[in-house]
Amino acid sequence: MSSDHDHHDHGPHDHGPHDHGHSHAVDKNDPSLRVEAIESLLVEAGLVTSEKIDALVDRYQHDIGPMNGARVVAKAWTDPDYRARLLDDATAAIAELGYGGAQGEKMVAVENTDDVHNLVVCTLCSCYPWPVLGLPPSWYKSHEYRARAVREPRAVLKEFGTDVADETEIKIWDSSAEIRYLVLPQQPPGTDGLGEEELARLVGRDAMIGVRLAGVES
Amino acid sequence: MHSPKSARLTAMSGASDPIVESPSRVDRPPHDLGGRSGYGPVRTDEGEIFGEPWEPRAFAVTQFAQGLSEFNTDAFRHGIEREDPDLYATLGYFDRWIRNAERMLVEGGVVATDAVSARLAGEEPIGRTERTTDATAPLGRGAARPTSSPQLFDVGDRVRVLHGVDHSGHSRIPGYVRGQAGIVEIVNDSWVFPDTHAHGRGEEPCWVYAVRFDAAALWPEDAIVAGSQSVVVDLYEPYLTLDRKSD
Repeated sequence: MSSDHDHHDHGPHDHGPHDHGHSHAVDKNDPSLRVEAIESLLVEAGLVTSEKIDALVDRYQHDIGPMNGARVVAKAWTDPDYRARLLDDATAAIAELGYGGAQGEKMVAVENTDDVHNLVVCTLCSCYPWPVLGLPPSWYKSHEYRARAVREPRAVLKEFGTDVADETEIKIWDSSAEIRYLVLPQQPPGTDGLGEEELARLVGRDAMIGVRLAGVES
Repeated sequence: MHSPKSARLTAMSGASDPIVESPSRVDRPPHDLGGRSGYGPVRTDEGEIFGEPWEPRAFAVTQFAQGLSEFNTDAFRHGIEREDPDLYATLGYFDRWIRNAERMLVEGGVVATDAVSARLAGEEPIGRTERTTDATAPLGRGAARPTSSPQLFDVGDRVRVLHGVDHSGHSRIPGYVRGQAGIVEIVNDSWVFPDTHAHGRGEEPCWVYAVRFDAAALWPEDAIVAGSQSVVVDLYEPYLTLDRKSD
């Protein structure tokens, strides 16, 4: 980020609160330094502790993620009653497995079939179903995906290596309010005998966004 | 343009509202990206949630900053949208977040205006806060709210999105559906209205509808076969007018 790390000619600033080897030539636009500055201000004021920040980071890096959504999908593939409940009221069906909360207050499950392929985007920011998928991947937040997914979805899908038949309607869900969408992918052929746990391993994050098919996650 | 404080959702209609251009080319704020041309391939290899080592902390610090500043989700989003337009286009995602953290903390009175820049300059900040409230999870309350307002539209109704909307305040109308007609696919309950909520003008709960638009109508200049591609957008009732009741 900063190109000035090796310059040591800015003497008066030696007393910077966080000396990480680059406190002399501070690049005010370096976001990592802004993070440190804000964190140190809040911690010194007694408004938050670094432990609490660590815990929040840990939670979203390790506890919440696409494995949650994969369990939902695998259960829907193996249990027709659950599938029906999921398509009727996804919020309740997902809560049956213990998932819910921020950025998943109301969930809608959209089912891929031979006739319809669903794809989820947020063109205005980066809305995403946190309780079932965790935080979004970088590409989901990119301007390229946000601009193009609604207009040229087949081209975008091709970039993910996903071909959808011409006869299949592509339905793009732009999550512009507080409702969050989970794609229920089609079960890969030849996997009928597998149990829920094995099936869940075939369900990648990208299949639940709709940019890939289940079983072919990269 | 009005200041954000005075921004109101204003529908212009009739002769003053000729639909002369594809909505994808109508003047739109920088964050309103749907359907814009000129973007290259999606970096499908960038599948990680955090790209740089500082980004996890930027995420968490911003969450606490939001809670401490008492910014609701809509005010948070509007904070991001108020980024300098050129910077919005070029800064990374979490860079926009951490700059919004500073914006919220300053506007929320938690830190002094120059506290962060002073610290970045290696100086001790002045005007340190005297608040001792502990940070709490900012997203606890949710946005679903019951409303006594009648639900104006039903599944199957053809509705039209307001075209001339004042974008100087917060709004959740993607520009590419402005002025367009679609069919209500789902009635998605009632929620706080972002356009008022973001500006401290109350929750004003209203109905939200998932409205389906045929992509061939949204982008007539593109070679899209009608019915082969559709876009469903969640729209708040005040954004919509009735075009035709379902039979």
